[in-house]
Amino acid sequence: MRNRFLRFLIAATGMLLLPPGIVAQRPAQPRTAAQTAAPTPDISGVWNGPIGGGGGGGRTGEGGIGRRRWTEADPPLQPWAAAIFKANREGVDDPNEQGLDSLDPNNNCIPPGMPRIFAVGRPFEIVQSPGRVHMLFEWDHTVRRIFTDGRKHPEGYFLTFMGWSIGSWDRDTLVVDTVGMNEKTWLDGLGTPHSDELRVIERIRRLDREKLEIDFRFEDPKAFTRPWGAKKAYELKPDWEVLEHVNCEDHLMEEHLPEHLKNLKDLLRRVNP
Amino acid sequence: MAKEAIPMYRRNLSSILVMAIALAFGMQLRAQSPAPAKAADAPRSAPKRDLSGVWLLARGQPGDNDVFTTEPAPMKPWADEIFRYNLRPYDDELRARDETNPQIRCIPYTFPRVVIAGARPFEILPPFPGRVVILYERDHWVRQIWMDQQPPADYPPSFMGYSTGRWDGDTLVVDTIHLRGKNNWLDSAGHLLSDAMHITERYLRPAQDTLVINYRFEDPKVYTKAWTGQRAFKLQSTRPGVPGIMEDVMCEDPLGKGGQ
Repeated sequence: MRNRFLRFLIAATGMLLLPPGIVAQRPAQPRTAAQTAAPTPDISGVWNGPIGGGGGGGRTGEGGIGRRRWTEADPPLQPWAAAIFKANREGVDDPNEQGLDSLDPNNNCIPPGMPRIFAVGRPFEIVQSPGRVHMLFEWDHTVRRIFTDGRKHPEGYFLTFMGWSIGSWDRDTLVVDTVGMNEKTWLDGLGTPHSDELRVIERIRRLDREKLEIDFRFEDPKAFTRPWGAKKAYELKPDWEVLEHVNCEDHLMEEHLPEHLKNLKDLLRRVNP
Repeated sequence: MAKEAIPMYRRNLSSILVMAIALAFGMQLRAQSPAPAKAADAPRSAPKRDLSGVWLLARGQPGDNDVFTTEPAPMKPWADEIFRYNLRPYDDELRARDETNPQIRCIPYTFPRVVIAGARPFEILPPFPGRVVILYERDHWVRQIWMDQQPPADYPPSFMGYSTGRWDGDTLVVDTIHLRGKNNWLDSAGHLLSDAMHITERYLRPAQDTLVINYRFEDPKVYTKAWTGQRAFKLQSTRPGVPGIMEDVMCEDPLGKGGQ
């Protein structure tokens, strides 16, 4: 963890050193036959957030709740899920504070998955292609693929961290329906559990040129007592590119690399006594 | 997280399981999904300056998915010694030993090893101005190729490096530098690379369903001169039931078991 800020500084410095040609580059505009026929709304570009009023720490919304929270109220959880939620936050007094590190999957090198990836506070790029929308998240170079070619959810597809997403356009809004997410993740930084019946419906639209709004709705009859959700907003970063990030890189380099290096050293001693 | 190396057999077992599940569901999916409108089977000529699609290493190439060429690379003596050690248990197969294999220890795949390791597919996104984007299934790597630009002189070394590209006729020429070469391997045989590595790729699409990438490796710290390799790939548009590329998480097995 302590290296994280340093790495960010290095990455940020790297960005500053980019030639102006790169920095000035605009987000890509896909050109497709479909677009010339009936213009598809353009939500492409590098987006950062969640943003909002209420001060620092990525706090968002009227009450200035933290980016880790979806809503001011605690999530509407079934008893078993409420018990897990409580255990995940044992001794945590600040309602905006993250759940316990020891129980946080993301803190233990497990990918944040959907939908927590939208609350980690790192930028993502939306790339639109014919029949697909890709989201390239900076966090752990995570890729999300949304099929917009009319196909349905497959039956019996195995569970993944990002799930299976299909989308369609409702005027200016991309409506995305995601299922098939595994249970290894938290729904947010607070410690909200979910089951593999989780379904996430997003309504994604540009509020204006600079702002993207995602209206999330969470359905999970196993874990939640009712559907619930929240809106989060993201701001356009036209001069940013999504940088390289590896989940647990510090951990890998500090714990796995030394052992690897020890093996290499042994090897060098052997080949070069 | 587990400190010990991941036993190879378990990795193999898990990938076999994943494949088995993929195949099982793939067949089911094919039966259930609406049949995609498919053009006639007649051979089609390759689209110009469009490499988009899902590509998988073509079978039967010498060296398979372990190396870019079976010709000996012109290594400096120290690099040659390490390479020969890396290779030793399987001299005849060009496969490396686990104990010095960085990726066995969950250290991320570096470009270019990510392209061929384990013969996992990659997807080149449809062309759009200014960039070519490649998504590798292996560890869900993303590679951005910035078109018609100069690379920054100074950039933090990264697992994918910094790639710039240009079209030479219908051939995409890509130069990659600023790679994190230290403690990483160029391929699965255990060839080395350093942060001085400069890789030039030439992407040709001689037929609609065929992609050939010619590689040139130049790394004065490890090799005595530049050397070349080539791999061919086949278009996977009809891979049954699979959405192009699938989700893959590096070391998911040990991570998912909650080890600290």
